[in-house]
Amino acid sequence: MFKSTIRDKLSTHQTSTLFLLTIPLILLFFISFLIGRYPISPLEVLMVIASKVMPIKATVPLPSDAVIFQIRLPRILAAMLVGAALSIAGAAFQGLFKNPLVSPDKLGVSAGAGFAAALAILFSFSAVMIQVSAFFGGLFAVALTYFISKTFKGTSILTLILCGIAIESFFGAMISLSKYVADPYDQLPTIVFWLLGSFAAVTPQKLVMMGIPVIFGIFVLLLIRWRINVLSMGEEEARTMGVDTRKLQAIIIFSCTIVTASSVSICGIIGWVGLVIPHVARMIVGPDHKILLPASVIIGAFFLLLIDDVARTITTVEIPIGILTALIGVPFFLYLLRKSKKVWV
Amino acid sequence: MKQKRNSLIAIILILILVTALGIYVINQTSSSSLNSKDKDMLGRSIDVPSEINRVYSITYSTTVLVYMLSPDKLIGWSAERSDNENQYMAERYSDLPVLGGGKEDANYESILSAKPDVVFVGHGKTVEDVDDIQQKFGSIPVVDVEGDNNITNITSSIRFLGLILGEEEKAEDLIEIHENVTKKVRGRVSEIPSSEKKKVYYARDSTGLQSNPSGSSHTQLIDICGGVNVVQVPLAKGSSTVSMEMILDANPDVIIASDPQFYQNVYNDPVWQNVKAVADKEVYLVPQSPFNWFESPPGANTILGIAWTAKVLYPDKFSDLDLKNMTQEFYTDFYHYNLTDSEITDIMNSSGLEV
Repeated sequence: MFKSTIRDKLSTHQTSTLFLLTIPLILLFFISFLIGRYPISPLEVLMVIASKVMPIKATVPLPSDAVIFQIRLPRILAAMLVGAALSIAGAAFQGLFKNPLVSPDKLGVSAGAGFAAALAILFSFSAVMIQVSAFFGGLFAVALTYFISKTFKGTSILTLILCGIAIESFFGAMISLSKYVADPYDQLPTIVFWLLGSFAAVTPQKLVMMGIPVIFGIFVLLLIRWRINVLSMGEEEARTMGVDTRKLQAIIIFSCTIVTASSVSICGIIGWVGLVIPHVARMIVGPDHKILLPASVIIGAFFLLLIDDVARTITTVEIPIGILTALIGVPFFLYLLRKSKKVWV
Repeated sequence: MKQKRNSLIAIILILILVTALGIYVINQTSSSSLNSKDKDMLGRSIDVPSEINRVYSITYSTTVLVYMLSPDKLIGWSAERSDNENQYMAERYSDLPVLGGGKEDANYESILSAKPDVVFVGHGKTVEDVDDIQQKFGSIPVVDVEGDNNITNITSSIRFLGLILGEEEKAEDLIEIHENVTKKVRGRVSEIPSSEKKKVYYARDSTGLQSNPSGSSHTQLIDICGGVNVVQVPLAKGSSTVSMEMILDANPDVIIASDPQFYQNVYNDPVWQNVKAVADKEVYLVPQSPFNWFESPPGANTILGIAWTAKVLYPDKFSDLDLKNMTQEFYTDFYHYNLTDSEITDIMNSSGLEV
């Protein structure tokens, strides 16, 4: 299955580009620890972190430790993980469908997850159960799309997308219905906020629970990234090169669904990232999936971490991530579009 | 510099909000002084039949008031009721159909086919809004009630509803209870120096990260009972999401929780252990049956909540206040349910209050 390792190797130029992309991400990662609503001086932050890895005693007030390790760290990791996941899934989907307008939720995963979560909120399930049902709701919706499209004769990738659109609308309507019947005082704000996405309620447990499938999915996509190149040349060509396209499609769809469903279940529905970060990556590194996928991971992680830093510091109220990704992301994207001279599909 | 400008903008916004709220409240008081059967509380002319037997309200806080004053006239609920909420309600009431509420969500045909003699609509409506609703109901009079969701100014709406329903005496009883408890609580908490006032956080939903600032109709009880609401966000409809870091920074002395799940988890969650209220075991769960005592909906159902919140915040100052007895009488008179001694103990204990 993965015997193409030699052809997978990146050129030295590509390796150094990826390395350069990593630097701002690492910087932002450390800066993100220093900012937040709870006042801790940067020195204190360094002391607390240092005290965990070195045998020194930090003399800081008690909550600081919790703020850094129970609140900021999970949020930072979750934002990076989700940004990476949605972006790589978007890049893989755009390659698979040979269509630059596809985002990872096109097969109904977000709508399915959203409906399952809204239902769980309506039934007053616990936070963990909301997360779990969102995850399986997402998987269920994509499975439904996949198997319905299989029942059509002469299945093409286009049928799959059309079925996806239908399923997405269906679950979208179900979400509206659940908003309609929700208790306007308590449940409705929770559902609305959940649908707009937020990292406010991320806990270490939630992160671990959903981080594992995300990392697994990203890993699989990175392993098969060379084959996505082959796919985007067209199915016929791919088959003549000895690639089992059906199997490959299924693996890509499965991995993308796993990472997107897990992401949605951690932090709600975050639009826009999966659609546009792959384009940003393409402007920077070009259309070769070998480097496009890892670049999407790095840029996606950077972008969503930046957005969440803004979301948790700019006002006293938590701003839904889904709103900020568009507010900050759209002008940024249009700017890049103007600057970029690269041909990128 | 930027910080300064931001806070300036925030102050201006708050000033505008407070002024608007002030004007609103003043207008309410002036228009609600008319208590006759010919005009509703927006001053619209109404023509209600002399005998009213079937009543519907499309606003939940008014529905609750109708249930309190004249339950047998109620023909349906404007909001879904959970099994938990129905625990202390006779089946003949809890079995009433849900016909929807709000201007948009009310099912007009269902309500019409249930043949009400009068339809109430609550708080914050304009004459145009109510006239629109009136058109949908044709010849059935639509009556506007104002102040039904404002516990600091609810008297006139109780009196008006009593008048329309022909339950003036019962309305006066309720007003008397309300005024007594408010007077007692306000009087005693006014003596507390501001440095000794308890810092309170009101936690909504299962994450506990939804809340309302002071001045919201959802947190009026904290203000009345002399607590300092630690949530400092702009006033918004519904609720606002606040960050855990803000709560840790504010470090409240007492947490009032609206969600049973949150209440159960809060003592096990490692992050919340760093909040003073949790460390001191000062988290309380609002009793929910048959109606929420604290704010859902904001309205007459929070009258008992005033006494409860006062005891939660300042147990020493209100040790003479017999909440058990008061609750039992209130339930019998206004919730039409006789609580047994074990039921009343259960209500108190499951809210975290030891009586």
